[in-house]
Amino acid sequence: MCRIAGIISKKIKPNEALITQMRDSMQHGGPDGCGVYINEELGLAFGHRRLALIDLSPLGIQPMMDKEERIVIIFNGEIYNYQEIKDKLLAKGYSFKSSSDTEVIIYAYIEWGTDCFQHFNGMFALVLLDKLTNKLILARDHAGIKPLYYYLKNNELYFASEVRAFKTINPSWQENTDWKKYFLLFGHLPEPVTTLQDIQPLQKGSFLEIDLNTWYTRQETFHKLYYNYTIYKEEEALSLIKETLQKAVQRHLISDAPIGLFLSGGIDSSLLTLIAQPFVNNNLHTLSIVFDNEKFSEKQYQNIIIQKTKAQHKSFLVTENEFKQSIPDIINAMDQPSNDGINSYFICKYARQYGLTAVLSGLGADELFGGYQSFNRTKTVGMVNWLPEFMFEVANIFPDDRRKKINFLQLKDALGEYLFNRGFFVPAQIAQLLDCTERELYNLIDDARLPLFTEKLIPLEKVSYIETNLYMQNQLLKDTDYMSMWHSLEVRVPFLDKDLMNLVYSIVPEVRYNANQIKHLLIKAFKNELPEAIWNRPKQGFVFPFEMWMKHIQLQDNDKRTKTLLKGLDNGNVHWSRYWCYILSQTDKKLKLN
Amino acid sequence: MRRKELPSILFLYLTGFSFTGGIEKFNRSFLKALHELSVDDLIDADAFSSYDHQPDEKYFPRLRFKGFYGNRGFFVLYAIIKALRYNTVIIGHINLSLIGYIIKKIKPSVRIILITHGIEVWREQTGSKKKLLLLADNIVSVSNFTKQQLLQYNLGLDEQKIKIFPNTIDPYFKLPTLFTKPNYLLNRYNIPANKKVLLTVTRMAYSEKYKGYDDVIEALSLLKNTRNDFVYLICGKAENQEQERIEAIINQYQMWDYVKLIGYVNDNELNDHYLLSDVFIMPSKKEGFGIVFIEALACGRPVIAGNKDGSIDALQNGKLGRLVDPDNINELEKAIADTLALQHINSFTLQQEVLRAFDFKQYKTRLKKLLFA
Repeated sequence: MCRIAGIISKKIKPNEALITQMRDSMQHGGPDGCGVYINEELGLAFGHRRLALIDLSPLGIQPMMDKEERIVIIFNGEIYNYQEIKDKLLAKGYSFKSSSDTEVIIYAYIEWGTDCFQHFNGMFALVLLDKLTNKLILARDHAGIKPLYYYLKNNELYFASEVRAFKTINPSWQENTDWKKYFLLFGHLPEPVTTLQDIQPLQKGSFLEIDLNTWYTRQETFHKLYYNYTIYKEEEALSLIKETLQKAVQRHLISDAPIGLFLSGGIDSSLLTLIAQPFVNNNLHTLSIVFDNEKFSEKQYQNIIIQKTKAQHKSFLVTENEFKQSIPDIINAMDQPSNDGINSYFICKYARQYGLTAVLSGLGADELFGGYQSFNRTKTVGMVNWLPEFMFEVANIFPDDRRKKINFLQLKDALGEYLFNRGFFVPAQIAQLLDCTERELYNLIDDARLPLFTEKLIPLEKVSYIETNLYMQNQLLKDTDYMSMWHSLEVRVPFLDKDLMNLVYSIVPEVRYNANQIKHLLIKAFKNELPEAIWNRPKQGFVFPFEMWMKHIQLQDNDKRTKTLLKGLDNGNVHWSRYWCYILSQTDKKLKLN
Repeated sequence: MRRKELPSILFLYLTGFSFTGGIEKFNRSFLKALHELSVDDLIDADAFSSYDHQPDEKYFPRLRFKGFYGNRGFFVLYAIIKALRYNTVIIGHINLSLIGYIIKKIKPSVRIILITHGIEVWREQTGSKKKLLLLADNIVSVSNFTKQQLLQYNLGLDEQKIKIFPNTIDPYFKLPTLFTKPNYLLNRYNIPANKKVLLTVTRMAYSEKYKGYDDVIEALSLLKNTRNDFVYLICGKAENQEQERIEAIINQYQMWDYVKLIGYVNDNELNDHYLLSDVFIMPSKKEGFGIVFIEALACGRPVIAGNKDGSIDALQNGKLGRLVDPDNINELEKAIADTLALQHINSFTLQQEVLRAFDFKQYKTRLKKLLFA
């Protein structure tokens, strides 16, 4: 896991100082080493910061080249099946000088060209220069776990793992004038939107190839999640899920540095802990965070798993005071604004303090196996779609935000359904908060519509699609990436293993979802391992005491709008996350902590 | 990203999931490719079938599908009404020409693509079929052979609008990696390990006496004078009358020790039957394309086919297998003798070569090119 950056420009002729500045703006993501590569002839500079997990020796250092110095690569991530690929390459006569996965990527590219990305199972964002063909290739993993942002215009390319890197080398880089609108609608910035003008993320599962002689560019998808049904029977699905998830967890435990697990006590993290235990013997480390208030504790459920696996567990307490003190650092850590991420911040911080370099997280299970409320709600949503237009206008008169969001359903498509479930402010409110028109907001929504085929997915698949491609992609994965990197920690997500995702997408919806039991396939597949107390328990959302704590954060000159929102926070009409979202959008104002 | 205006495509076809045969296989792959291009956000494709009831969702999602379960009258009406909303309508079989013709008459801006497979168009067409051939914006032909037949029988047809669109290996076809003969089949059919196996896979219909398995029996009766270490398996459902006819031929040449009529083979055992063989043979005279040839090759088996029909395309003018004059028994016998005498067959290479020519990825790319031409 690392951080990468680069500049290709004949105009500015990037030098070591500039690339170092860009690279080191993301220093926290790579404390174990760094390197640069400059090619003056091409006007090219690569920078790399390293967090070492596989091959901790100096041989793993980047930018890395092959023996003939044909390829120069910088790479952020892990290729979990690199050993398998290496064996194939060894059989073809290649030889290796290090035991790192980076070197495997180089020779995989030499052997298979851009087809090599199809062979990789892991999380990665990488850039490689092929000096033989004078081509530059940017690639990002199948699920978009690792970020890669770029600027490509007028025969110039800038790229980096974080958006902050662009701002560092050019503090006056123009802002994207619409980002606040998107942010208040979604609570995150939906790809391809970023806070800066002309900076966009590389699409997941794709690569971008640039011919440096002609600046001809070509983008191609190398992995796409299809609803490719081949499994129609539950028994078949169960045995395959069990086998594939076990293999995925085992793969994700490959590391030369200490690795642990987040254990919340829910189904996903409990399951990962149970599956990991036999692979790590007595070396199982788990951690959780608790907040001040006992009623938010999941301790009894964590204890069941700790006893069963004999894990060395540590629970860390986050107090109101610590929360308050950490706010500036939390905002600093956010590369891109996100309403979520506070608990990621704390848990990553403590994981690092615990001495871990990498942890496994249950991220992705809800989206894949149907764990959200939105899966149950989709039937009702379908019915609302038959309502006449004027009925939606009525929704505006409700005082509380939740009911106002019925408004979004008049979009009558997957995006409307998403915003109904997870949107933050409705256009009428945003128009007030940002001094813009509702029309502008509806135009933005039009720009963000999902591909047409999503409308012809059956309702449950549609929910899975939007949760995966909007919520998980733009919020969970981003938060997880920059919060973990901020604390020099690697978070690994076995539920997004490529084989497992492909498998789940091949199961027919009748088998994949069950109206009476969330994540029924996971529970049934591991019924002998997973204690009933974990999955059969009173409903309890993941609640934080933030409702009370948020009030400490105010703007230095509390304008009328902030005051109204604060009042709403008091009387329960405004959820803390909406208030937080508004605060985060006010980047030009100073914060006041009471 | 603002949602793109996608070209809307409607595919009208007879059957894909309720029967098995070459055209059905073509349709299944075609549906799959339409679905994938939709998920690629390039087109918006729906399909109506006159005979299928439900799609197999491996190939096509149900919300894009309507099946009419044999209710043809309703299918025709519904298809015409709905089709007017689409940019492109693909007519999957010339028997559905009337629909295409009416659509084109009501709304000429709808692009009509007609798919032609084989013998159904190797004669002069009349009525709505003839009219649609002339009116259609494009005609898709599964082989160059079918294209030439179309041109020969339909004077005035614009050659430029006929596009060659060969069949493919089904995307779910399980490609063998080991090419050994399955023991359970050797046991089931009681075949000693030292015997060479010849195989034909086809429906045996009395009305279509062109598949050439009768000629193979005759050729083998000659071959048995020089070697007797072989057995010929014919797989496929046989009509009673055809069964009697073939049994009479086997009697006539006294070939009961050499020929086995296997009957219908389930799809999930089909690949194993290909693997059981040493050579796949079908000197047919009227194949539109002959998907069984490329399936046999995908299983690493050499192929002998006729040189008078679409088989030429499937075997790429002889590059992928041996083409013989199906009316010349001596030539057929020689081809069999030569192939059985081969000491070493590189199954992996055969598989790779047929995939290079006809794998599903290319099929999908061809469809993309056709739609965006």
